[in-house]
Amino acid sequence: MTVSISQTADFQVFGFSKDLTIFNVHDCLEQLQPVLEKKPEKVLLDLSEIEDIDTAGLQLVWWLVLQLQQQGMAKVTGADNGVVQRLLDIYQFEFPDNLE
Amino acid sequence: MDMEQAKQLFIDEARELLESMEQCLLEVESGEVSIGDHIDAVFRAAHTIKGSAGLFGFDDIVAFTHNVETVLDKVRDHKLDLTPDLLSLLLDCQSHMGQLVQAVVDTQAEVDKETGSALLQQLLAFLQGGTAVVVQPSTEPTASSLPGLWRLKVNYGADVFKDGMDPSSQLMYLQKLGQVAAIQLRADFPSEGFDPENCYLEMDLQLQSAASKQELEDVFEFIQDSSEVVIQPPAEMKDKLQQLPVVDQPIGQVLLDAGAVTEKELEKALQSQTRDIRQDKATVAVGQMLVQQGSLDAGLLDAALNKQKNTDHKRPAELQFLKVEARKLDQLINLIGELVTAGAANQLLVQAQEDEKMTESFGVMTALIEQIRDGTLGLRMVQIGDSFSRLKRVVRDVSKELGKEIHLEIQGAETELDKSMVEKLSDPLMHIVRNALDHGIENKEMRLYKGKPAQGLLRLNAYHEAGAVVLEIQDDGQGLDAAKLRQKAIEKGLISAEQQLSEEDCFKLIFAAGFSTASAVTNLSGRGVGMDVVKRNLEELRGQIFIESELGKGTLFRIRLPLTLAIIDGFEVSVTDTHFVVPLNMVQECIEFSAEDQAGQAEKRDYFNLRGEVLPFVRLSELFRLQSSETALRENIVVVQYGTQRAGLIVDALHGELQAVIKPLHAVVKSAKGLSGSTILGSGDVGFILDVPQLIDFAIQNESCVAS
Amino acid sequence: MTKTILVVDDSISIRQVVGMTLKGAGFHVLEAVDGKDALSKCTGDKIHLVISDVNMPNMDGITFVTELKKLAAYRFTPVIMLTTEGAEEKKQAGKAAGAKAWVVKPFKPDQMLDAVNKLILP
Repeated sequence: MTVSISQTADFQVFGFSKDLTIFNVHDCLEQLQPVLEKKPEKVLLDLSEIEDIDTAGLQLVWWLVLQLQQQGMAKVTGADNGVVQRLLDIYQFEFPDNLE
Repeated sequence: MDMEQAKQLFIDEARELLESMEQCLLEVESGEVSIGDHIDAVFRAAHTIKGSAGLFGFDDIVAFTHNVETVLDKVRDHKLDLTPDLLSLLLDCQSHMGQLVQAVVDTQAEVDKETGSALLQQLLAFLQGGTAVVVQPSTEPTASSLPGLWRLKVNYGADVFKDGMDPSSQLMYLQKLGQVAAIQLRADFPSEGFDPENCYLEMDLQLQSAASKQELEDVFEFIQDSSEVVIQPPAEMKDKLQQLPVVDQPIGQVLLDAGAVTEKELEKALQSQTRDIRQDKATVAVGQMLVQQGSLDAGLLDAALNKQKNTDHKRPAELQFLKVEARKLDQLINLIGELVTAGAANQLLVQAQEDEKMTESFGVMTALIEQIRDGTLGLRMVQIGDSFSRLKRVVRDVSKELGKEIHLEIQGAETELDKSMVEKLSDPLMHIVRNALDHGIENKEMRLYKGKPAQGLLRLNAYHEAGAVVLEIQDDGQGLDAAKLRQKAIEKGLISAEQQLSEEDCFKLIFAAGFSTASAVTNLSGRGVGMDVVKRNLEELRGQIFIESELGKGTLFRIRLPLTLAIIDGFEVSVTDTHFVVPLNMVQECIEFSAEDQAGQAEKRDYFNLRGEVLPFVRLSELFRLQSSETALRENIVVVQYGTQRAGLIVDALHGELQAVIKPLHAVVKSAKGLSGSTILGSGDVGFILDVPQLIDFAIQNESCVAS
Repeated sequence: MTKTILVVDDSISIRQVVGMTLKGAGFHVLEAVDGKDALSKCTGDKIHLVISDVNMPNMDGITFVTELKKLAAYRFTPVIMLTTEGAEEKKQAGKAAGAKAWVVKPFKPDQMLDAVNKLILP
């Protein structure tokens, strides 16, 4: 399982672990597609378990966030994890957040 | 070459092109030729103007001309028919382009923006699909003042990730080369069918770096094939460029050497240009192409262009013309003048030597000098045709405005005239033509009523005659009414009621200041100013104007102008010890003159019987109040002719032919009648050049005064 | 996380120098003597970058890359081809096979490191 999908009281959580790179972005999306089609209203994208991420991975998270925010609320957490933070720093990038 | 000079070149070029564009369009409109024969030339004109205007950042010219070019392109490809409407529109556009160019020269000049946008709208209508583009100034991110701030723009290719490239690594690498000031990551996600393996990213980046453009470009070398990388050099590059020496190299090389573009960028620009040419599409200059692809901004290109020598001469000799600064030409002509004078001095010395060989050899040199002189003077000569063509436009516009149908006939367009004269002629010619169209040629109904063809005729003619150039402007209009003109002049207080005037003098009243014959003043021929200015302008050129007119049949204006202004072949004569030069082409013959020959001697009248013809004459000794030594037993008479009039000049001695370099008269003698200039003779003496037309007038008037 | 680079070249000296350079820069380095040897090392473990010579016995570089790209685990792995000056044809063939980066021989260790850094983060 590349992405774990779990439910907390308020949120659906997409838990990314280990790798999020060009090698598995396709699988990740495939796995999330059924959930996306249900148009979840509140989603947390948890990047804290990621060990390897590349720009393709970043792009996928960005796209997911934008998609989810079209129908509800979405927020990226765990981006302060070392590898993710490093990549975001390089791009001086922050994921959009519509959840206060 | 500084920027101003470069601009001047552009302006000259643009004007020339606009003229040829206009001429071609007019010829097509008149049905002389089909559009197929001229479309290439017309297109090229618009195209070149656009291209070079872009180099200088004249974006309004570029924007407007671009659309004209697009329409022309369609006409050329037979995708658009050249209807009379379109032709008319193109002519209007041509005018507007002229205005835009003029605005470059003269910042005060007003550009009619409304007309411009109206024309644009009409052009767009012809383009139907609305494919007309308003070309935006290509300096997108405005140049920053931070030192060494490069602007990078990367549009990542879709396959970047799949190729194993990670853009973040390049970004990391960039940080080795400088300080990343700002990054903006953008994504262009599709609304449907998002493929996470495709890259949808774009990046704008500002990098403060001392690295070369090549180094920066190399960072992206592995994604160059799939992505678009645009690197804009910092503004400081301009200063750097300006410090470089002027070189005689293609613009691409200049930019390359300066580090403003990389070989890859240049190659890309050249490729796009080649592709455009192959596809027969509108092409732009390489420098402009580089600006378009974002490799540099227009300002930088300007700076680089300044570093480029004017390499016009390296272009293929398509135009068969060489542009020479007028100053250089004048200098050359001055030098030739000195050479001729020096030659004359040497000739005297050589003759004194009486060495046959030397005389012979010197004769060869003299002949060569003469050829050089003629050739050099010829450099300043241009065909009058260009001036006539400009009148074509006037005729077209005026006849449209007045609703008169006018056929323009041009003869002798190849007649040559000194360039400086041509320039000064254009205004007077325009006035005369406008007057002829406005006041001369009647409207259609009137013409039909009078049994004339509905279409009026305006004929322009030019030819050489006895060392002069004659220009004729003839119309088949209503003609001038001498009596009416006279009456009007009396009313206006220009002449007294008692004053007797010949018919031609009556005609010449129209040149009087404040005289206007048309009862309804139109906005075309002005308000009675103009014709007096015409006369004055022509007099400044040492020209004369004659009018022939027949009531109901038409009017002919005939302008006579001296051929050139610098050197003449002359005939040297003297009265006592004063030397005069008569322009050789006006000398008909020289006859020995004795007092007995003076036919009207009894009445103290100054005329002479030349083989049964009455020939008025002037004594130069009397005219210039020279102490005639009574010892001069024999006098000579030089018969001179100007136009159809002849007179005799009585002088003491004849010295023969010479070349005279005309020097302006000293202010003190400037007012002296009968002299047009001075020259330095071979002996070092000053010779006065006689103003023959004036002398003939003087002789005739004098004679008729005495006679009456 | 240390990244792994596979260096494929029949010249031991090149493997040595490149290996040292990359190790010095903090990469984990695998070495192979030709294409065949290299493929045998691609067992599914993560390899972040492959550096391969073109002309090698047993299996040349281009064939190797072609085969490598067929393996799911390495289909997106970036490959640097070591080409010689003027071998434009080889370069194009390499690109077609999936090696989008290249370094021209002879190269200095720093040049190799530069190329690597333009492809992957250390």
